[in-house]
Amino acid sequence: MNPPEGGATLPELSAAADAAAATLTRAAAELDRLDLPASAGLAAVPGRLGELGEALHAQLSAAVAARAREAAAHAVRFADAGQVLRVVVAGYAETDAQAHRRHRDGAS
Amino acid sequence: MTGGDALDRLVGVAGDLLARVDGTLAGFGAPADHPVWPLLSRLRTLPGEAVGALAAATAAPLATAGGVLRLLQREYAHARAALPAAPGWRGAGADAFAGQWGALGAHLDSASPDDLAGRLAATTSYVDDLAGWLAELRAAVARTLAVVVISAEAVRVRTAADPVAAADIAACLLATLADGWERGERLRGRCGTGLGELVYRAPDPPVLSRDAHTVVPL
Repeated sequence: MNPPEGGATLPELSAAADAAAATLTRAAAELDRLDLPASAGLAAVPGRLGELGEALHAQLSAAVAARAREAAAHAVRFADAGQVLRVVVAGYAETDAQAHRRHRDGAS
Repeated sequence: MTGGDALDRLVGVAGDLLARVDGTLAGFGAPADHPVWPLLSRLRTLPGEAVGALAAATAAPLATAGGVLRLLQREYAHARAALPAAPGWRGAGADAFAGQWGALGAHLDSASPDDLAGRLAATTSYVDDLAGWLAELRAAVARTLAVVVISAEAVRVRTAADPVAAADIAACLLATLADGWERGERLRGRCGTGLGELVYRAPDPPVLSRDAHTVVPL
């Protein structure tokens, strides 16, 4: 068994994962709310320019929707990582407490 | 008059002329060999109605959206910078965790087009390009409008509903619109790349033996 070499602790990692998840959740909401009115109204122009405006709007809307989904999905991954780390921290803490009790009971 | 761009200021002044040009073209046509015909066929719109609709389209919402996307780019960079490096644990579990943790951070921002920050930057660039193209199209139409509204052809349209003069004005405006349309089509083709949805590639799950140990500082 090798000794630990410092670096971030489990609670610090858990907090960092939660913070990243929160940032990405906010980003996904911002992207969902982004106001993209038919490429600034160009789609209302008749003829080929209007068709181009519709196509550009569709392209932009799809890109922003993809950014929102990416952010939301990665927020879930970070949140899951934070949750796993908290479970591990709790498990280690309980193991330490049990060892402490055994040591105390054995010594009395 | 304050606010808006050149097209905002000119379209009101030129509104009557534009309506007369459209009306004259629709009512009297143009000489068979006039250059307005291929332009009408290409853009499938009369110049007055196109210019009027274009005047109502502004780049302002795109500029606002670009600002939001830039703000999110900074937040992604801050979030990435705030992630601690993989901790100095030892053991098989530590190696597995380091792989998963590193992949999460890299997917967020690893200075690549194929991470969340890279895709966001590409989307921001696309929005900026769209806003720039639309602003330039409006400026180009305004420049053409400024010329035709004081031209001799404009006088003939207003005073005599001259079909040739109307066709000349229409051809000028439609040529400007066609040039903008071509540049927009190129933008549409060029900016399609790098905007697709990114798929997360998780590292292979760890294979841990029953007697593997991991040492973790709490």
